[in-house]
Amino acid sequence: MFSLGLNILLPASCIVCSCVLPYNHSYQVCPSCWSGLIPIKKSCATCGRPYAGNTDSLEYQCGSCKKGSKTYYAKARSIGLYYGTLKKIIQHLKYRKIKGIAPKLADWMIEHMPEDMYIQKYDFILPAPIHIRRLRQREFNQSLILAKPIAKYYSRPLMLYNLYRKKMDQAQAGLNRNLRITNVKGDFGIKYPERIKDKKLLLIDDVYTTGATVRECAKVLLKSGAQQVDVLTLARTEDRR
Amino acid sequence: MWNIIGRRPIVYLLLVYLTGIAAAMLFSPPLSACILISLFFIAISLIAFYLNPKRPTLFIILFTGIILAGLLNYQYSAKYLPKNHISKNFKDGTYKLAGRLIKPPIKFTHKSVIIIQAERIKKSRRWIKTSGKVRLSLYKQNIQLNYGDSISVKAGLRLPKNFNNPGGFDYKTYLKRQGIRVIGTVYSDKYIKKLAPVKVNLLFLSIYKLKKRLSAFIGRTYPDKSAGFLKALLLGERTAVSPYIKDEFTRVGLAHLLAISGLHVGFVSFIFFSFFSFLLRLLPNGLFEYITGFIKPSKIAAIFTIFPLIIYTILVGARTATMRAAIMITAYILSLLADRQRDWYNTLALAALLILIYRPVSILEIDFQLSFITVFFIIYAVYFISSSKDKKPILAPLGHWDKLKKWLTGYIFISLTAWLSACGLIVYYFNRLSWVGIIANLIALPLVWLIIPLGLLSGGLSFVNLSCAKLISQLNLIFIKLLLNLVHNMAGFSFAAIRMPSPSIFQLIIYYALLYFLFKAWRKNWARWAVLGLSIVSIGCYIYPSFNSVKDNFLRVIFLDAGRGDCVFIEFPGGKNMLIDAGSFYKDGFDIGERIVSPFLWSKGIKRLDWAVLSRDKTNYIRSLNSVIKNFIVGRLLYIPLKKHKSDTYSLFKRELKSSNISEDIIGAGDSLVVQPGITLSVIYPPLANKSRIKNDNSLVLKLSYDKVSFLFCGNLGKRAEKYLLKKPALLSSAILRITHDKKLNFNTSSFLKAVKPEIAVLSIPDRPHSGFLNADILKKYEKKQVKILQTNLQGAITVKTDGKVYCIEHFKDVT
Repeated sequence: MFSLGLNILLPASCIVCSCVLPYNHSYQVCPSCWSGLIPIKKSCATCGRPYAGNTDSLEYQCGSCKKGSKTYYAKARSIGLYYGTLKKIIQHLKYRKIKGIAPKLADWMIEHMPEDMYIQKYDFILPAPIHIRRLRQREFNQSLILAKPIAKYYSRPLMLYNLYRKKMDQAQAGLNRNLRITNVKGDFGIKYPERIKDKKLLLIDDVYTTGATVRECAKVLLKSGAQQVDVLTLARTEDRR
Repeated sequence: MWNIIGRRPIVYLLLVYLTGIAAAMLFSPPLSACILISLFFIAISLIAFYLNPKRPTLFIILFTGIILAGLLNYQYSAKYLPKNHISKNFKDGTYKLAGRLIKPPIKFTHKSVIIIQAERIKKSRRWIKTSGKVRLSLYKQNIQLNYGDSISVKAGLRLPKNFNNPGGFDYKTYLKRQGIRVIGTVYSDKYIKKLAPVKVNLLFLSIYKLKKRLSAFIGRTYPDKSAGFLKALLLGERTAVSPYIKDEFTRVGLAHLLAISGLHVGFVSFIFFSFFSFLLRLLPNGLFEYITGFIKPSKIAAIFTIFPLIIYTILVGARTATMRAAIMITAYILSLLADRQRDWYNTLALAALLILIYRPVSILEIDFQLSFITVFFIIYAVYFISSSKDKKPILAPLGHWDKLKKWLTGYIFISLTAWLSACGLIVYYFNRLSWVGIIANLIALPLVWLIIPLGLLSGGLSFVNLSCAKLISQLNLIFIKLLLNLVHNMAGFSFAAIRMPSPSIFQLIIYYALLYFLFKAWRKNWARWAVLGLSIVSIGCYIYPSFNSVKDNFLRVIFLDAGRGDCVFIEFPGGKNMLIDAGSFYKDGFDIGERIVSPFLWSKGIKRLDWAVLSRDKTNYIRSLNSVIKNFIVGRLLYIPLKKHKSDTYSLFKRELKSSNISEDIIGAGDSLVVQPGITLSVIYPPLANKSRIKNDNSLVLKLSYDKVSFLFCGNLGKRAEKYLLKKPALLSSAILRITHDKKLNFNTSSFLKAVKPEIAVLSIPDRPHSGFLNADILKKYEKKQVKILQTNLQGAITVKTDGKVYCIEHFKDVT
């Protein structure tokens, strides 16, 4: 009844296809668009890059990881492809500040959590930080609002305000791979290194494009004494390594 | 069904509800049946809808219920009166009355007006309980009255009266819509007694106290003219502005600034929202970051904005436009809190629906119509602009110059749309088209953006630090003076505003349809055809009347209901026309030429008067005729020789004559005007050499004859004039005699009537109780002579139509 009232008072249309939402729908993506979200089934065991091969092994590694390029994190996983519906939703979330969809996305992440991610084993969950100036613009940290329900679901503590972003650089979006890597170099810092000493950490971010951001984070965290850093992102670009 | 309705549900609900109201206005069915049926339908449909929302039939049932609800609500609020309602408990006369002020007093220059909720009335020495609102005008009042005061008052009560002319303003209904059916006058302080205070709404009381304090502060700090302007702009005290400034603002199309409109509420909310956002931005990084973990800081600012919004809406007096804005802004805040997109049409419909549920009759009010139609078109324009923007990718960085350019074009485009959408209704209701309004709004709004925050800031600071507040007031004064000067200069242009006849409702609808489709035509092909079709129709509307103007053989003489004054409008068979006087009213306050006579002429589609006649040398008459002359093109002015007055009225009249280049003639006995073969207007009194000191004796007596039918307009005939006229009885004989008088009818009627031999006498006499104007003896004299008496104060405007042989009479109102 509450959703019906809200839908009459403040009618919302689907942010993806802009069709009318069903009368008792509470979030702003219609059911048919929502079912168009594609979870990643098979991915590289290390960096989580999706692949379409026939191998079922959990040990599969992508070419780049086989070569042994330095990732810092132990493993990274993404839930969905940054494409189509999910891409549109994330763009709305980040640039149009439509925050209401985030808890729903977090639920979707939990639903499609890869089998080899054991969230319970981590000591802390860390959302990827954004610079305070960016935060003042956007008024929320999209990684934090994704991380919150996940932490609550697996009853793991969130670690906030420890990892922080020192510099406000150009936004990563729209840059090419090499620029992205140099763009984030030395951006992150740790306020209280003693708190993460010998801890297993899970870093949660919204999109994994080249991995520059999360790699840089993992690097800083490991340097400060973390035992292990894994990465979980909501979405992953298809292939832009 | 939901797929269609779901996009803007409230728009559809509103449309259905409006259907109900329209049905009530057309058919007015009995009450009790509607209650049961509508409740039944709504209950069933709500339950059924909850069980299975997909069936379209359920919507039909729901909508039926809402139609009936609308119908019922309108019926109830328009018709229902409790048994002890004051309008059922009195006859015109003086009563003792006790009640409570439901609004702070409104101050005018020469009086103040209070509205009280009547509680008891003294009838035949006994207090009886009563209810209903009474509007009281207080003269010579020094007692401090406030909202919520309980008072007992001795007042002359009466039912509101209309001037019953075609196209006239329906004052009675206007008051009725506000719930006022009885008005009254209190002539002195000694008739007002304050009673022991009773419980009142504390929120309202404190808000009105705040308003009083702010108003006093503004009055102290700002110079006279600016203070009045700022009080109107900020606090909604419309009567604080001098009529002169008000007139200038109306001329340049900025009247909406003085009457608190939705714009102000929007401004104030925005200012407070920015202020709270600014405060939140001042928070240290850590705290800010901490807060963002739970809620968007802008949501906090939005929640806080609701409080000043409510306070301000009450403070300026919750009128339709301000309520509309308050509802829309609240919905906006809700959408921020719920992280929803905003559909402004839905929000606008929500505001309309709530206001119409609260007061269904407001649909007929100018406030409501103007406010909603303007905002509708503003939203329409905003969506029009943004829909072209949407096609670009989300992340398209814009340079500063591009941003400015885009913002500026948007601003101009939207103000233009707002102006266009408002001017249709303004011409319809006020017969005024303000050309400079387009530019004036563009310039004035940014200034108002400065004046309102500075005014608020100085007002707020006045509670903390007076010298600081005064400093800011000085700064604000610069902007206020700039705005007032700008308006003054723009109002000086002669083409700033034109007055024009009222369009018909049909034309009005075509105008708005055209405006609507013009936007659509930008992108849609079918809309281009619609625009083309509508243009043809509107051109047709413009041309049609000139083909169709009935040039029949009838002479029409219309005696207007213009108070106790004389006002006769004559339409000659050839299409020419003449206005004899424009009525008169009490010394101050009410401009009968502007408010009664001009609207009547406009409603007849008249732009030009071929002749205007001034028959009396009295300031009241000069003033009202002057107002008419300003509004129309006058071919020739005929008037009685005027003595040099010292009054402003006289000099204003002379100035107007000079500036508008009207050819003028001073007329006296012996002059005659042949309008066309067979129709003559002759002056039979006074002779030009008459030096009578009594003004009434110096009014024109005119005779209009068309073949066998003649009219005698004998103005304010006095004894001396009568004596003079009776010397030439042959001149007098007329079928229709027109008599008006400001004082008692004191001339010797019998011999005069014998000479005139009228069949009909048209009288204009005030019908105030105890005025003694209408002497029963005199009426008897008429009856004896078998003269039929018509009174404009009873029958409204009286039209005599004649072809020169026979005549017939129509009156505006049936006598009951």
